[in-house]
Amino acid sequence: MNIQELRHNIEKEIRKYGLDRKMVSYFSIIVDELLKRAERVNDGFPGSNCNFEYLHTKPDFVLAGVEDMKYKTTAFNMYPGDIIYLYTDGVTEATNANCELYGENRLAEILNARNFDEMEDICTEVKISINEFVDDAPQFDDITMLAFKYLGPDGQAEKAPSSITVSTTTEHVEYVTEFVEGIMSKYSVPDKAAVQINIAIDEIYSNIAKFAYVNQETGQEQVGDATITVNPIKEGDEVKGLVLEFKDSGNPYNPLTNEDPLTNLPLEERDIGGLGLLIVKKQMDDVQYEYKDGFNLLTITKLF
Amino acid sequence: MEIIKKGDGNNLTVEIQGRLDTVTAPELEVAFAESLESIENLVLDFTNLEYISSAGLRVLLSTQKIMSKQGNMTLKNVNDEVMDVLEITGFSSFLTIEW
Repeated sequence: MNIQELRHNIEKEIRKYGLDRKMVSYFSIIVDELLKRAERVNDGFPGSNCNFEYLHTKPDFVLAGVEDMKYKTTAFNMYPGDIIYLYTDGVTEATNANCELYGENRLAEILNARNFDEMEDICTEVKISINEFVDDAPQFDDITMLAFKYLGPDGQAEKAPSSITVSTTTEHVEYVTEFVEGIMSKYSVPDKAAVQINIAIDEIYSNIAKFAYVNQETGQEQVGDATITVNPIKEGDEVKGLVLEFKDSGNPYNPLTNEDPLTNLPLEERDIGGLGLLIVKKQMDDVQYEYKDGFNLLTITKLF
Repeated sequence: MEIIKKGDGNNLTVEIQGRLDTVTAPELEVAFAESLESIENLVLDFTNLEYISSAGLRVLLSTQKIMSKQGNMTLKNVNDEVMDVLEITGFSSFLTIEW
């Protein structure tokens, strides 16, 4: 059953029970875990520290309000750990004795006060906050809430969601850069370090794209997957550095065994080979390689 | 990346804006291939060049080799991040960098 058929069936039920004179709000989503490649990075970045924001979709008419009404579907990206919180206007329009509305700001304050692991806590804490605000004033409207957390394909929402998997065409370096820049701006990484990390991504990723999946018999370039994971180095609440891990399942290759190129040759004898990795090694605080369980793992550390 | 070319006879100034990396370096290579003929003074204006990776260095190297034969090439307004890369790789020793 697709999402429109589902809605249609629910409308039939609503009419069957004569509920179609009520204002029925309806929201349905399909979590498609297959779309987890580069395409998913285009509208922002994940982060457990991100604040709640409005999901901007155009609302359609109330459900079952009119026969044959058309309802639109839309798509957006969810990352492990993302939460959707739905509420009816009875929440924000809860009114105290002075005729003040509870409002979006008070709601946002509660939602963003801390990271919620249990969805029930969100609804409970909002309800407590509304009760305190409204005090003795009578309730005029229904107060309905639903909180939903996407735990990710393996059911384990990462505490600090931080990785991207792309198919290894050269152009996809831009997805990786964009993704990491999102994380860097979240952690307020200093400009100089951010530039150096961007360069390191360009060097390492382009090597993976060019060489990791080359068919060793035919010499043909092939596309595989590369996963880039970013983790902060923290001292208390302060982010002191970033660790980036580049993982691919291509041909085992340790780039760190190559000797550094000579950088003092005259122009005519200069060649470009090996310069990329040299830049990475000089600008990062640590570079490590490991081959493990069929994966090349190159890890770089940048302290600021 | 944006490439802005300003030519006058045998002189050519190329301003490179943004990032000179794996994705954009081939564009610069094409731009040079189209415009270096009979140029004796090539100025690369890096005022708005955010950073450069080895893919960009490759283009600088091949362009320097061409220009060494037919004239000269000068880099102008190189920022600290770009300069750092030029120094690490020893490119600062053969490139003409004007402050």
